[in-house]
Order: sequence, then C-alpha cells, then structure tokens
Amino acid sequence: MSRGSFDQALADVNQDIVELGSRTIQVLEKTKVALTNLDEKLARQIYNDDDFIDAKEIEISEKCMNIIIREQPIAKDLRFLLTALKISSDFERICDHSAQITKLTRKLLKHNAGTLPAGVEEMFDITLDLTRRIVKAYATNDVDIALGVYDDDDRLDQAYKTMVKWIKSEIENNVDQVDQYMDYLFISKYFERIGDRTNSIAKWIIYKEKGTIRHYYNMKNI
Amino acid sequence: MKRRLFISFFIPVFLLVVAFMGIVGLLSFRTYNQQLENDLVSIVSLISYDTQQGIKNEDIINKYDVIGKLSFIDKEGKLITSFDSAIEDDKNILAREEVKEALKANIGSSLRYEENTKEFTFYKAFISAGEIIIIAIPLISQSALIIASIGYIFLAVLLTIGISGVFSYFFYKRNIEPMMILEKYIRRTYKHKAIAQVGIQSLPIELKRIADIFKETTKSLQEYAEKEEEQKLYLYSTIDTMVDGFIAIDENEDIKLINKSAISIFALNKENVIGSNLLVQTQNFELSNAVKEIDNTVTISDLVIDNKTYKLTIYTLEKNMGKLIILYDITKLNQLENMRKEFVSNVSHELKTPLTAIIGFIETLKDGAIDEPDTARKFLGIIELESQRLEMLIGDLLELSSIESNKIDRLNEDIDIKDIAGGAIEAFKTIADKNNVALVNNVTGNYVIKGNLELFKAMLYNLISNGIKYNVKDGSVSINCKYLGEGIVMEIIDTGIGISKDNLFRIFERFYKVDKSRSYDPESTGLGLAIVKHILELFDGDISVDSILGEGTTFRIYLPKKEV
Repeated sequence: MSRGSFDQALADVNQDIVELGSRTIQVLEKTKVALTNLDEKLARQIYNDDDFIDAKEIEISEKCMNIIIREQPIAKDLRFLLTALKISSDFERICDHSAQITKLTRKLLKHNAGTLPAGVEEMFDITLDLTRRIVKAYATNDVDIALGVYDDDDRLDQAYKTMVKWIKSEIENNVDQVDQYMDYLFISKYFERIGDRTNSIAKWIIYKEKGTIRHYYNMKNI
Repeated sequence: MKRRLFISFFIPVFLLVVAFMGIVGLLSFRTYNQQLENDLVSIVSLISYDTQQGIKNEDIINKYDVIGKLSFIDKEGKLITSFDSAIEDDKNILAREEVKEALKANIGSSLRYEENTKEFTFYKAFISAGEIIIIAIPLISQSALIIASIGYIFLAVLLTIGISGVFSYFFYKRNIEPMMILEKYIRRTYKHKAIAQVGIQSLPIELKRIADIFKETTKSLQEYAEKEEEQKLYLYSTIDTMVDGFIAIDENEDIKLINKSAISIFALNKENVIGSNLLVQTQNFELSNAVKEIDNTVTISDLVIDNKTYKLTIYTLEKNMGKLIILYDITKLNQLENMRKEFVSNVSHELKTPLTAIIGFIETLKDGAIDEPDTARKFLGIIELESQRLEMLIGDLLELSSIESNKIDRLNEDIDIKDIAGGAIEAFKTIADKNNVALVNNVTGNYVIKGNLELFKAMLYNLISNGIKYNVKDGSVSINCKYLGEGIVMEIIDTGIGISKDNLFRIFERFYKVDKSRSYDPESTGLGLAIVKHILELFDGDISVDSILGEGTTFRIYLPKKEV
C-alpha cells in the first residue's frame, strides 16, 4: 500500500464514520416520528433496519484493523483509527437504543397510550440535538462543538431527573396506567444513555484532535 | 549569465588569434631561412670565383667578414686558415654535418646551436680549388633571442588579448545584449502579468519581430483570461444570487461548486467546503443516499433540514461529470397548503353545523312538532338563530374575500378616531352593561387619518366586541391612542381571560378559536381577527398582541399617517 492509497484508506474510514453518524441521526429522526405518531409500521421497520447499522460497524472495525495490521500506523493516523473503532461502536449503540425505543413504541400502542408527554418530547429533542452536533463535530474536526456537547449532556441528565419525578407522581395518581408510565421511564432512560454515548464520542473526538484523554473535571484544560 | 557568455566567446577568439599569430610567425621564419639559403648560394659562387682567381685566403676572409666567418680546410680535415674560434677548437672537423655533406655533394649546409659560441649558427661548406671552405653565419645568441622574444611575446599576448577582447565585446554588444534585453522583457512580462516597460526599440529587427509577436500573444492571452475570469465571475454570482440551494459534485461526491444558500441551509464553513466530500460536509445521509441512488434521471423528493422542508432535485451531468443538487424551500408553500386545507374544512364545518341544526328542527317540525305551538315556536326560534348565524358567517366571508381581492373603494375618507371610538363605545354600551364590563375611552386628542371609514369601524368594532366577549365579570375594555413617529398607535386593552403563548401567534388565522369548547358559539364566526388583520393590511398598518393568561390582552394597532 503506497502512501497515497494509505491516505485514501483513512479517508474512506472517515467517510464511513460520517455515514454511520448521519444514518444514526436519520434513525433517531424516524424513531421520533414513530414515537410521536405511535406508528407501528415505521417502528417495526426501524427495528429491522438496525441490522444494516450493525453490519456497517463491523465493516468499519475490519477496515481499521486491516490498516493497523498492514501499515502499522503511528501518531495521528493511529489515533484516528483507534478513535474510529471507539466512535463507530458508540454510534452503533445509539442505534441499538433507538431500536429499543421503537420496541417500547409498539408496547405503548398495546397499552393504549395517549399523546406523548411533553417531557419525553423535550428529552428526544435534546438527544437529537446532541447527536446532530456530535456528528457535525466529528465531520468538521471541531473540538469546540465536541466540548459543547460534553457540557450540554447535563441538560439531558437534568431532564431525565425531572422526568423520573414526574413519572413517579403520575403513577401514584393513575395506578391503572402503570404499564404506560413504565414504558416512558424506560424510554427516558434510553435517551439518557444516548446522551452518555454522545459524551463518549465527544471525548474521543478531542483525543483524536489533541492526543490526550481527559477526565470530565479537567476537560476544559486541554 | 552575461559573464559566462562573454568568456565562452572570448576564449575561442583568443585561441584563434594565438593560432593565427603562430602560423604567421612560423611562415616568416621559414621564408627567412629560404632567403638565407638563396643568398648563401650566390655568396658561395662569389667566394669560389675569388679562390680560383688566386686571392689570398686572408683577404677573402676579410672581404666577407660582414656576412660570416670563413674557414679554409684541406681535404684531410686540417685547418688552413680560420677566424672562427669554434672551428679552430674543433678536433674533428670532418665529422661536422655540413663538411660531410660537402665531401659527398660538393656543398652542404647545417643549422645548429653551437656550444662554444652559445649561438644558433648556420653553416655552409663547399669545395673550391681543392679546399673545403666553411661559412658560419651566427643567427642570434640565445639570451639575446630570449630577451628580444619576451618583448615580442608580451606584445603579442597583449595584442591577442586586446584583439580578442575588443572583438568579443563588439560581438557581445551586437548579438548577446539584445537577446538579454529580450529575455528580460519576456521574464518581466510573465512575472507581472502585464507588458513590461523594457525598451525594445533598440533591438535588431529580427529580435524586435520576436518581441512584437510575444507582445501580441501575451495581449490576446490576457484578453482571453480576462474574458474567462469575467465568465467565471458571472457564473458564480448568478449561482450565488439563487435563492435555492445549489451544489455541484463530481463523480466521487466531492463538492465542486456551492452557492451561499446551500452553505447556509447546511450551516457549513465556507472556507473548506470546496473539494470536500458531500456526506462529510452535510452529514445528511438521506441526501447522500439520494445522490448515490440516482444514475441518469432527475429525482425529486422532500428533504427536511432544521425544521424546513426542501424539494430536492438531482440532475446527472453529461459525460460522467458528476451531479447537480438543487434544494428548493417549500416550507412556506407547505404551510400555505395546510392553511388552505384547514380553511376549506373549517368553512364546510362552519356552514354545515347551523344547516344540520336547521334541517334537524325542520324535520322534527314536519314529524308533528308543528302541531305543538310552544315547541314549534321554540324550534322556529332556533332555526331563525341558526339562519342568522349562517348569514353572519357568509357576510364575514364575503367581506374578507372583498378585502383580500382589494375591491374596496372610497379609500380617501377622513377618519376621526376620537369620534369613531366614542361612537363604538356608545354602540357597545348595552351589551357591555349586560356582561358587567366597563368601557373606557381614553382618546382625547385629535387624530385624523385617511381611509375607508366603514372598514375602520368594522375593525374597531371587532376588537371591542372581542374585548367584551372574552372578559371577566367587573372587567374593563379601554381604548388609548397616541402619536408614534410618523403614525398613530391605538391600543385596545381588556382585563379578560387572556390568550396563552401557544395560541397567540395563530389567532389571526381564519376560523382559529382559542377555546375549542366554545367553538360552537352562535355569536362567533372565528373570522373576526382575520378580518381585522386584512383591513389593517389595506391601511398599510400593522397589529401586534400582548397577553398574559388570566390578566388580559392588549391589541396594538399601528396606522401610518400618510395620504392614502
């Protein structure tokens, strides 16, 4: 593999990750439509499409390992490949969580749930925003956007806490609708986890660009 | 460059001159030798004659002393008479080259360096009257030769250098320098991308012609480049002014051209867009997938980016040059379409509701209720109310449509706001008292504008009627008016139930009702505020609304004070 084709291989992997990221955004957007409209058909379709995402993640991992074994890259190139491995698995996890949400969407239908609670919708909007921003941060190698995502994860955690409180009080008042509220609780938990994933991606983007892995508390001091 | 050229010319010229001078020197030396030989032959015959005449050897030697030293030797090699010390000292005269030759052929000659005298000497030997006579002519002594030569050699070298230098200089001046000027001219023109100000008038005609051709070529290339640049600029500014998003990509899906709209649609960084991959830049899988999937035809689909809907059109360029992506914003169109659909369904609903009631009561009447006078009267009352509602609704719709289609005349009437506000309060007094709402007229100054009086009244009545209708017990509706800049601001303030933030921006839509439970209100058509808004558009005015839920609402009308 010449230098040119080595660079091309790295660019390929980069493009694959952006594709995986933008697919993740699309999956989340569709999941939102399915959840707000309680669209069973769409929910099932998203759940089934998750296989493509898994396949893409494996493809990226294989490409990365191939390059590492053949080329034995160092410094920035090696960091890039390690980051690619980590980030692709994070995106794949986000899509898994999305698939779980669609599964819960179908459950909500069974439990005759009404319109989506404003809190869930708010969490979904924050999650989508964080995901969109983190994909942009990766694609444009923008450390500032990544740091912003890192900070804004608190918003999601806060929303989750409020949501748990709200669900608790609702269950106390409407004992007969426990199932429905349990579904909302799980859905919120998945959003919270997606938030954590975007956080992890942010950390790896910063590693890729700056070459240091930092803990949360001194994230700002890079 | 200059020096190298000069030297490379100087050296051959120098060598040529040296060679020439060498050849000349050699030739003259040979001619001199030849001459000497010839002279000696005549001298030899003269001496032979003298000896045969019996002149004494000493006298002969003295006679020819000017020419050379004579020696007389017998055939055995014994010295007879001699003034030449070299020959006197010689023990073996017969071994001399010229003597050997003379013994063989009567005459012999030899040129050699004589050790004894340290001179180049020319010897001639011949036999006359049984004796061998040797003439020795010294050419020049070695040291004298060297001293004499140094001057000449030095002169020759100086001459050679001088001649070569002068020759080289003139050659350089004539041939090399013009070329250097031409080179400078071409180089500067190329560097500054403009015809250089280097004097080419002094160039010889052949080079000047080359310079002229170069100048013309440069000019036409420049013109061509300028035209190309202009075309490019024109193309770019055309694409940039397009409201639609425009992206051109090559076969690898790398962005080749992108306009401002597309950059803002995807919130891209302008600096590094060109040459970068479409997916990497936009992170939009739907778009990149749509681009990948089409091969030759135009594809149209809807694309949602940041809550805006775009019509996506992709064209495949000829000769595998890539693709063109055009994004046309249809958000507003979609909104309008939705509003239209909603309006049609609302109108049908609003028209149908009273009609259903009317038909229902008529049927009940026909089925026998007509025979019960009390019931019949009550039903007829309802039918009358519903018919009035229908009439009101149709009236409002007609009014709205006439305002919308600008079929309003009498636009130049004087409108005295103080008068009209007073009249309006008078007109609403009864109904306000019934609802326990106080009406306050705070308009004191003289405010006169131009416009259609009836429409202005309709607008004000609509707002006051709303203020009363959506008020609370012991509430109030007040009207204020003041000048603001070039126009007038009127405020209609109520202390009513207020409007929530979610509803606030929709209240001017037709048939939009805040309180859905009151949607079947025989006194409300849901068109009032829509009419108000359209009337104000006719007045070139504007309306804004502030509201706090549970505290009240303020409608603020701005009316420009210009001649309509």
